[in-house]
Parts: sequence; C-alpha cells; structure tokens
Amino acid sequence: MLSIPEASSRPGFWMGLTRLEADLPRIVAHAVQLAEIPSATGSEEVRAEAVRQLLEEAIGMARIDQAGNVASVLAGEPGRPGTVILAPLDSWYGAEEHPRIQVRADRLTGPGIAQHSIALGFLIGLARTLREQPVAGLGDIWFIATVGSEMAGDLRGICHLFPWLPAVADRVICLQGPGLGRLDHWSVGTYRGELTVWTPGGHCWRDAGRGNALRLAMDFSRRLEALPKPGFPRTLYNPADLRSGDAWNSLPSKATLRFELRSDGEEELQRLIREAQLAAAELCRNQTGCRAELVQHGFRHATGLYPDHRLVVGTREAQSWAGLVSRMGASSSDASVCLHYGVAAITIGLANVVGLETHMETLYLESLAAGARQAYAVAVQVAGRSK
Amino acid sequence: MTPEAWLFHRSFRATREDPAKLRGCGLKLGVCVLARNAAATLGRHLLLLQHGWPGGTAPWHEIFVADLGSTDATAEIAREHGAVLSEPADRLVATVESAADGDGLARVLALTESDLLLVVPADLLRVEFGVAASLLAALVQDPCLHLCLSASEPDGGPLATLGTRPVLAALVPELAVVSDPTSPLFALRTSAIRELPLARTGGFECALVAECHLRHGIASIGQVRAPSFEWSDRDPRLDPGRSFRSTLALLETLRASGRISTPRELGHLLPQPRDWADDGPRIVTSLEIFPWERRGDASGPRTAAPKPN
Repeated sequence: MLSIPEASSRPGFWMGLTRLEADLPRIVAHAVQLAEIPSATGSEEVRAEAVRQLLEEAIGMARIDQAGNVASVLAGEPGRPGTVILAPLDSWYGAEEHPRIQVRADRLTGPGIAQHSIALGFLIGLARTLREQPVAGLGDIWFIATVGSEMAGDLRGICHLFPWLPAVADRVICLQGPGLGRLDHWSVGTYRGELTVWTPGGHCWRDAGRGNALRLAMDFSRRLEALPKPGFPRTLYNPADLRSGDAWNSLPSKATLRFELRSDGEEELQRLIREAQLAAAELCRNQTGCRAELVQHGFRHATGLYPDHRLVVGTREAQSWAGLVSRMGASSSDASVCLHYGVAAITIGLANVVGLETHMETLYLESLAAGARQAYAVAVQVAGRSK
Repeated sequence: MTPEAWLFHRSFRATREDPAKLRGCGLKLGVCVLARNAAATLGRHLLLLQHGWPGGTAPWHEIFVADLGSTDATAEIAREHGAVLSEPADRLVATVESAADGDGLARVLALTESDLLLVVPADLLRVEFGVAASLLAALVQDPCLHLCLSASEPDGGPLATLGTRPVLAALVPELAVVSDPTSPLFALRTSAIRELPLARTGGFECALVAECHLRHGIASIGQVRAPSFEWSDRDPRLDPGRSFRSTLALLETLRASGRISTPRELGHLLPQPRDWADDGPRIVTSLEIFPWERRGDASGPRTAAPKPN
C-alpha cells in the first residue's frame, strides 16, 4: 500500500481530488435519489437497477449478478493487484415507507440518507472521478454495491462474491455512511440464534406442573445471561426478541427467542455458542412432552487485521491527511466475510450523522469534504500498490 | 389538424435519450419552480435539477423559484441553492389567498431570458427527469410547438376528468383530445406564451391551454406521457376551490375570445375595484380569481410586465 506522499506524487492525483471535490453536489444528488428508493433487505432490485444505471453512466459498464449485486470495473494497469470498493445496497426501511429527503444548505434529513445512500453516492462518484481523471499506476478497481448487508440479509451479497473475489483482488475497502474518521479493521464475531420451545400447553390451574414454553425460554435466556463474559475481548449476549403466549390462563405451548452472541474474540464466541447449544439441549430435560430447538440464523467470525497491518496503517495515514482523527474499532459488515476468507478489508465512514435509522436521520454536508478526501486517498493508496 | 393527426404527431413518450438531446440544442433553457410553503421538497428539487440531471451537466441557463406567498423557509432555501427568487408583489395578500400559481409564472415570464421554460410545481414529490427532458426536447425539435404538457394518466387526473375536460369537450371540442389540460408539469416557449394573457390563480393551466390553442392553433400544443405524479402533503388537487377556479378561468378565456357569450350570472364573482389607499389591505377570497392580466385590458393590475426586447 502506498504512503500518502507516494500516492499524492502519482500523476493525476491532485486533479482527481479536485474533480471529486467539485463533484460533491452530484454525489449528494445521487445519494438523495437513491435514498428515496426503498430497498429493504431482500428487495433491492429497484435500487440496484438505479445504481447500475448510474455506474454505467459513470464508467461505461455495470452489471447485476445473480445475487443482485451491482458490479463494475475500472481497468487499470496490467500486472497490478486489484482492489474492491464496496457499498451496501439495502436500506433499513421497506417499500411501505415513502422516504423523502429534505435538502438544506448544511444538511440532508431523511431515512437512509446516511445509512447507506451516501456511501453508494461516493461509490459512483469515485468511479466517475477515477475514470475521468485517471491516476497513474493503479490496478483494476472493482466497484460493487452489495445486497443483503443488513441483519436479515446475513451478508449474502458479499458471500456470493466468493470464491471469485480473491481471484481478482486482495484488498477490500467497505464504504459506509455514518462515522467520519471511523476505521473498522476488525470483524465482530456474531452468532444469531433462534431458540424455539414446544410444550404440551394447557390450563394454568388445571394443568399446573406441565412445562411452560415461555418460562423455559426465559430460563435459557437467564442461563446465557449468567455466563461469565470478559471485558476483553469484549463479549456480550443480547436477547433481542421473545414471542410466546396465548390467553391469560393458558400455559404457553410455544415460545421463540431470538438472540445474538457477540465477541471480538473467536474463542470466546465459540465458547458462548457451545454453552448456548448445551443450554438448549438440557432445557427440556425431565420435562414431559417438551422440546427445544436451536437454529443458527447468521454467523460471522471474530477476525480482522491487527493495527500494524499495512492496510490499517495506510488508512490511518489517509485519515490523518484528510484532517480526521482515526477511531479504530470493530463492526459487522461486508468486510467480515472478506476477513474470514483471508482478504484484507477495512470499513470507513464518510460523514457526520445523527439520528441513525430514524426518519430524522441527518447528515451534515460540511463533513463530506473530509470524507471524500479520505476515501479518495485510501482508494489511490490501495489501488496503486505493487505486489 | 384533426384530433387523430394531433394525437399521432403531438403525443410523445419519454425516452432515455431525451436528456442528452437538450445539450447543445442552441436554446436557453430555464426552470420555473412554483413554490408555496414547500420547504420540505424545494431543496431536493433544486439540488436534483442542478446536479442530478442524467449525464451530469444540467442544461439550465437559469433556475427561478416563484414564491407564491410562503410562510416557511421556502425563500431561504431558494436563495441557499442559488436560484433566482421571484417574490409576490404583496406577501400579505399572497399569503391569505390560495396559491396564485399563474401569478408566479407571470412574474417569471417577465424576468426570464430563457427561450424555453420548464414549469415545475414544488409540491410534486419527484420530478421525472425523463419526462422533463422530453417536454423540452419536443419544443426544441418543433418550432411550431409552444406548449408541451405532461399527461400523468391517459385521462388526466380527477380535476381534468371531472372538471375541465368535459367543459373543454363541450366548448372547444378540438381540445378534447388533450389528456390532461390541467397538468401542473409542462414546458413552454417563452416568446409565444409571454404574448398570451395568463390567469393569475391556481388552476390557470387549462385556460393557458385554451388561450394557446385560440392564438396559435392546436398544433402549438403537445403532450408527453408521464408516470403518475406523487404529491407532498399539500396536494393541490385536494384544494376544493381549484376545480372551480380552473373552470372559471377557462370560461373567461373563452368569453374574452368570443367563443362563448359573457356569462353574466358569474359577474357577481368578479372583484369590485377598490382603492387601497381608502380601504387599506383587503382580504382576497379564494373565489377571486381575477384581476385578469390581459393586454389592453385595464381592469386589473399588471404585476408582470413583459420584458422589453
């Protein structure tokens, strides 16, 4: 990975940066257009087509793959390693919403503008800039908007790119809207489980003593809650959703508990998963007619790049050059899958944002200039590396 | 031109190539955004018109925002985005009166240097660039075309279907083929339309169509099929007075041109001239669709003088 002095001395670097900064209003306009297309996980087709058209307009070619990802490539110098730049296609709101973005001189307000329409706008803007104002000595750069990056999608878009992706690139930059200065170099290990308990049910008074599905699910949750969880690596259990019950006087015959186990450490995560499986297996012991089943709905390894990895060091340098203070951290994003497959990946944020995932999600426009400098510099640093 | 020929030659569909056709067309293109309390949507419209145009380079020579008496941040947003703001002559009157779209357009027509003007109501949630480009491209390609309307549905909206189209079909049968004579999104040739009298109320569009037809013939009008319009919370079609004002403006156009005799029974709706100095500010009711801006007619004040050549 190039250092900032090396990258900025490449012919075309400064012209490209100037062009990208001049293009910011257009990037914002595209972000507004895309935010107003609801794109719930699993229903990203309309937004994908809009992104495809914009990418095609930007660099001449874009296609939608079988999973629904939009991909295009900017050919670079032969023999240089490739780079992938990702942005998520899906939104946290669905077609039932009619999102409207309010545009003021200093801010944009409306659902999805920061998470992650602005990242899509930057993806398209970077592609257009690097095509119209090429920087010398860059390898192939793939611009990919991925489906299924929100929770329900379980990263199916990025998963679909494997094993193809390592064949064309060994560095991945994930763009996300919120968190200017954010540098996520670690994938939070995540296990999403759903425990379902079935019991015979009955009347609470007449059939007292029979198994109660709700109580059993709560016992399971309590047992996971009581497990020791270290502060380092940070580890937690989050019961997210519990559904059960019929009438006031009935014994619930079914209960469903959705929960998440998270840890920065793979060993801790695996230990918690084993404990959860054990708890589920033992839950209905000595309970006549009761059954419990634990199903995995998503999994991400706890893995990542150490702070001295060249990609992390280079990105920090770019952020510092852009006037940002790096905030290194961990997250669960498309980068998680790349890291798991041994492809170095980082996630960076592009803007200052408040009110995330609300209808008053607000993005401050003055933060975009630094976000643009950072994203551009990282892209050139990474794409300009030699093997 | 027969109605069939008109439908064949003057009904267009939006194509993806239309935005590109506008570049280098040799004409000055302008946008007029009619805005009344449109703070929620105006910034978005201006941003996208300036920077979201397909292909990147917006074709606009000038962008106007005709404020129709807003009490919110509409004017501030227009200035923030660098648009030319045209404010009503008297904000108090404009504020209590229902939106005077025609007055806003008249003001912009007096100011503009553009050859073609795209008229956009800010209450629209989205402006389809393909349709906007097609409206202008039709005017660019055919110099005989002076007014090009968008037709959001085959029969127009409810205002057209239940209000103005039956009246037009009865009184000006040639215009019965126009899908939506009340279309709020349209493009016009400024040199031709500036000569026409313009009702200064909401619902002026139908009278403008009739006026254009009477002056320049049916061949001067065209239409472009458009997807259904999505309106903000302030859907002008929900204004119960709009249909009435639209019909009344149309009747006055036809009366003035001699197509119908003077509807004396409507005379009581006309405002009585008053002297401001005597009475102070007056409250203008929604029924008051006049004063009528008509050349040679001194009955009403003129707010938008034609630009001297």
